[in-house]
Amino acid sequence: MLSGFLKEGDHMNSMIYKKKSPLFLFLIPAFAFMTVYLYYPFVMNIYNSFCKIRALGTASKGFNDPLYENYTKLFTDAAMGTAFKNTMLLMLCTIIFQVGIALLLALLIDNITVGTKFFRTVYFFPIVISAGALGLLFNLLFLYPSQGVSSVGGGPINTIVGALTGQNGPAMIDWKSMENWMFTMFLPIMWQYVGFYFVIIITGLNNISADIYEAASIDGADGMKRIRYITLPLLHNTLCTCLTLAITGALKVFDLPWVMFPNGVPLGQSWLTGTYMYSVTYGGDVDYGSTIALLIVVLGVVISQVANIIFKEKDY
Amino acid sequence: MKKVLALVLSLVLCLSFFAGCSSDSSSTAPVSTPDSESESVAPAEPVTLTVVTTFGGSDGNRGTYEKAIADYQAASGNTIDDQSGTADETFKTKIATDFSTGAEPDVMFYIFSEMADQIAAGQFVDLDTIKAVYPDYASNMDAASMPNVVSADGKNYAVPAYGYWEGLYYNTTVLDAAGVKAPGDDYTWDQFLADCEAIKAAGYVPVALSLTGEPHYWFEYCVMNNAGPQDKHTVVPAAKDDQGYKNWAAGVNDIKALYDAGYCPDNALTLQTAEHAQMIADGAAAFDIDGSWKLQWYVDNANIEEIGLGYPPAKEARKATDVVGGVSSGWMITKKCWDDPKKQAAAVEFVSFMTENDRLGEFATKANSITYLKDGFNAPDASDLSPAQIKAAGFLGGASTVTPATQDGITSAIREKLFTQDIAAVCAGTMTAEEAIDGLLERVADAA
Repeated sequence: MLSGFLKEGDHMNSMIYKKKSPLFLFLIPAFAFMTVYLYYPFVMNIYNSFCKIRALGTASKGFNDPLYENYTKLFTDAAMGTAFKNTMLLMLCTIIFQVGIALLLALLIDNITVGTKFFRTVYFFPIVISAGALGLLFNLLFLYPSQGVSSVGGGPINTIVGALTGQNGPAMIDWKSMENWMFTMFLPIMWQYVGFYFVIIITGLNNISADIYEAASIDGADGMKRIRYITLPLLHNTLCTCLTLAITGALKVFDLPWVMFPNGVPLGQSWLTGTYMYSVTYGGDVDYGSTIALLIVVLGVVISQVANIIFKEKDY
Repeated sequence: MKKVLALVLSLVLCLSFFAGCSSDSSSTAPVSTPDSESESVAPAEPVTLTVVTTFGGSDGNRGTYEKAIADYQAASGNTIDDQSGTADETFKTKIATDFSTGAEPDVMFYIFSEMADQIAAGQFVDLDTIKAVYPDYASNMDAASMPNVVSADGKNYAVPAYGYWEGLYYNTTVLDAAGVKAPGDDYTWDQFLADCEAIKAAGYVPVALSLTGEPHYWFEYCVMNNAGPQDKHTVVPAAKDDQGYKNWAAGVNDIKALYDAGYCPDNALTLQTAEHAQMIADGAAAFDIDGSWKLQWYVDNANIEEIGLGYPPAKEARKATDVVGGVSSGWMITKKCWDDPKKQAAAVEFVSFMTENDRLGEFATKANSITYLKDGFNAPDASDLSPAQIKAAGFLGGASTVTPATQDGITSAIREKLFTQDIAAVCAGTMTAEEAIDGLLERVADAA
């Protein structure tokens, strides 16, 4: 097809990359789609953050007074402070546990020959399940038993803890209490996305040439030295990609935390930037919700760029 | 030639992204004629009506509604484009967006208070205008008892289907085990507190209250207990020294008193909505206040013979038989549909079909409530019903007064923070009742 763009006498091999203008034509549809459904709403979101909008789907009632009211509110709103702190903590846990455990699993799988496909499927499976369904599942797992003489039910976790501690019935642990909510929220989020990073890292591992390992083993490099001096350096760029995805993912996470901890229970302690933005928007303060959405984007870009600068991509 | 072909393919791909933006042929701008508001117009051919109701999701009347739709389509030849859903925030947002973009449905069965702005903007047609053209419209309703869905202009915009009430559900097995008598029609707050103490001592949870899920109904009765129905407890307080403000704060503090006394579940601060009724069904808790719609849930999920129904405990200004109830939803026709001569008669015919006596009776039976029909409907044989269901049938009939819910006068966007966050904070001691009410009043003022 491209031969139609070449003049008579042109050779395909040398001239194929010279005429690029037709390629822009094929980029137009996707660009138009993204402009209408992504960039335009993004720009309108910035505009809306300066307006007074009291319900989704309704027109604005003019501009805020002062215009920057929502932006100062970001710094004075205690719930926003809680959401920011929790999200940063989640981001740290995502990097250490999600990416960390995924790396460990990928390294282990890379060193076995039997059952690799089985383990790949098993570790990837949680990412296929809808986050909302997972939230409901973990709600049932951590269910608090009915109290008193007719103590019934309770989730498997409380039943197992009760059995292991020799209690007569399920343990009465409220996994969503002020002391336990963070563990209960972070655990399923970590568990769900390990498979996602596992697949990315294992693809990166497969791209490392076996010749390098062969040469290393001839030179006497054992397992840990191979990982430290060959595998990890060559995985550097893949891990940088995982880092960026982990950072942006933690800022955006919503469905699973909302199903398990709606409205910041307990007592507004479990807000994340994604869940707080949703609550504020549907709570009748649409412009402030737009401001929080913009903050999420800015934080994602800034933190990703800082991470990229610190962990520079390298060419080997 | 290939260059031209590539160009054409690219343009077609671009245009295909915008194909979905074309307007629906059934919602084109109405063809208004000079007489469209004063003369009825019979459609020459079958039409498609877009209908939005709250009979979606797990609503107890969903099956009844879907059967009625099928029957109507078979009888009339018209088609119903049903866009019903559960009245959650996403659904409400979609409806608000549709109205603001001119894509509103033709007929709705919806919550009046959520449509106040649209009614004020003239996007619904009132009953008097409809009756001027179709005199038999809603003629099977008892006008004297039929509640007026009034807007600021004093007109009625909806035909109510069935009423609702909020009552005290209890587990009779738990009460028996605790040696507590079933609440009578003169149940007082002091008796209730004494019963809670006995139930707690017997090892059960007295009140199945989810402080972040549904404290709504406890709020209603606790406020009315302090204000009394004759003091218009539903009126949003105007100022901090307003008696209404004090009554509302006192009501929230009564809920806090239940929590402080240990009458609520240990995990009341994190208990989710679906779990608190389950405690009654499982025989772990004694009392819960919920609406008429909940009775069907107990029929489906509990041993209904163990579930009792009574009037919530009263104190001071309120009698136990002063109840929260009435009607909050009804059938409405949009102005856009009314002005479309092709759809006007079909919409009137559809609403009349859905509010026929026996059909309305099916809805009311499933909702365990009453209708406003002049001639009533054929109620099921009492021998087939549990004690709770028999009580439900006469619940509003046995009431001394019926007052609408306070929350029906406030949009969900304004009130939800009070119910899902602030009442829990008051119980936990991180906020005072006055601060919680102040927050609500600020949101009311901000929305004005």
